[in-house]
Amino acid sequence: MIIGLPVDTFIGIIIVPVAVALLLLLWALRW
Amino acid sequence: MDSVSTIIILLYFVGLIAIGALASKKIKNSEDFLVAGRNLGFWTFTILIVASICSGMTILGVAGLGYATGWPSIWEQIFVPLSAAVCILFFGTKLHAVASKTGYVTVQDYFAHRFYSPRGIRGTSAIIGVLISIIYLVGQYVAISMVLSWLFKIPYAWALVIGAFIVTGYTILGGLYAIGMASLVQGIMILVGVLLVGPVVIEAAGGMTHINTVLAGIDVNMTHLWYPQMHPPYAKYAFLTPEYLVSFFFMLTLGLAAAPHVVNNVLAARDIKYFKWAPLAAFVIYAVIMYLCKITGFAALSMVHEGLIALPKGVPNPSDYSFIAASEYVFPGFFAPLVAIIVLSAVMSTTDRLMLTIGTYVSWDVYRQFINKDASEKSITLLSRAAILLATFLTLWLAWSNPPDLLAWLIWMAIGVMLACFVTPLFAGLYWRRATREGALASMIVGLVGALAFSYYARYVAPMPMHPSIYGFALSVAAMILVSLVTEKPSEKVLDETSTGLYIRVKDRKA
Repeated sequence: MIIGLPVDTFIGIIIVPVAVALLLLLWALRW
Repeated sequence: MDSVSTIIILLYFVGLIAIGALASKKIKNSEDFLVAGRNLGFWTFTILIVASICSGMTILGVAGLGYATGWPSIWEQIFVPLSAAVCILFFGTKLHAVASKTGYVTVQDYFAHRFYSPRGIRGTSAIIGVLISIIYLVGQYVAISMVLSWLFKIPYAWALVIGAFIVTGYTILGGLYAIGMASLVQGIMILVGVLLVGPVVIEAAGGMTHINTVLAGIDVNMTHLWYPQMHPPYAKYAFLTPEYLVSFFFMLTLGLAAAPHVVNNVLAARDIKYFKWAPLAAFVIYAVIMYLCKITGFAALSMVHEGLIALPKGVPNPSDYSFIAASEYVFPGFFAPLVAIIVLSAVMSTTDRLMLTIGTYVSWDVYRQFINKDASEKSITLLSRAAILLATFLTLWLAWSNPPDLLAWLIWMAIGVMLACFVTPLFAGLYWRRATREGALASMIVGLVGALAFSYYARYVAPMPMHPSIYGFALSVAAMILVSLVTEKPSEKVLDETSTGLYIRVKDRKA
């Protein structure tokens, strides 16, 4: 448990927004 | 409600009207009123997109859904901010580039050009756009009056009229210029407000670990990323199954990106270069706001469970008050103006854009195309303003005369109609050279009928495992492909003028 959440939930709520932001960063850098 | 709070709120209202008056000096012609003279700067443009999507439901409804369902609803905090990025990147980049040569004022101008149909598609798209904008607008007014009447203990009807007067005032004065400038102020208010309220509420509820432990004690699935896949769900709040979340993605990410009050904003940016960083900027700002709102809802659930706060009784949607109740607990006294400004900023920044969309569609797409082809610049601006005023009265009457649970269903249906009607023609029009006029019209009509029929079925006959709009969307995609393939291919001239093809940036094309 991390901050009271199961490990996969904790990883999910961090990694999904970060992954989306990285994709949008890739779009900007390829411009 | 004390005099200091009243003065703060009044100052905020006066500020908005002043923005409207300031912007009205910039209005020289109808293009200034309807698309801000295509002259919005980077941050005004980016925040305008976020603020147009970020409605009263974003603040109150997001916390309310968090309160009702726990962490499985966190996907909403990815899907909705992503809709801003999808709108700017996939629709905006190409629409803005083509519009800089053709001078589109509305997305209907694009449809009429790309689908070589000056009236059929324009009329269909504009009428559907006006109808769903009015429904969506009713929901915004309900949120305005919910907040004002609860905070200031004034009658619901007064709250409705005061909110409507302010937002209609600055929109009629300054058109999209005023909306853009007001959005910048409202967006900053929302961001600063939730950054202030969110962490303090989490702390007051006992911290994240404590909140999550309480959630797991209520139902262990509340700390997972989805509820177990089964239909019907084991409890009313357990509807966010993997299958349902897929339809949630389509409805929120694609439906909101193609919404009339959102997608038309891409025509107002000053420079095509903005489309490089705006998707990331919009996503990050919006995701921060929404994560904090959602976690405030979790904190409120924990606080209610432990008896620290109580939600109002005798209202049809008590969980939607969780954001207000939680902030009242941590900021007693001066909380009223703070919460009111956060929520009103969110509501008004969507309301103003919806009203201008209705005014634009009525004057630019219906009046100028179907009634008076030689309409002057002045008469178009005047008619937009009149249509905005008329829409306000119509909306107030609808908000006043309908039961809230019917309104909530209508609003979700309106987002579903956006998904089923506008997403396919936009994607196919921009990226598929074989998409034809007949395909676009079939896709819009089939999508509309499908979304309405499935929404009706899900409410009055039997619940469905996914949001009903996704079935309407699937039908609209099928109609677009099948009808396009059996009808005559568009002319190369039109396809080249509208930069149609499987690329995003217009300079990438091989001429």
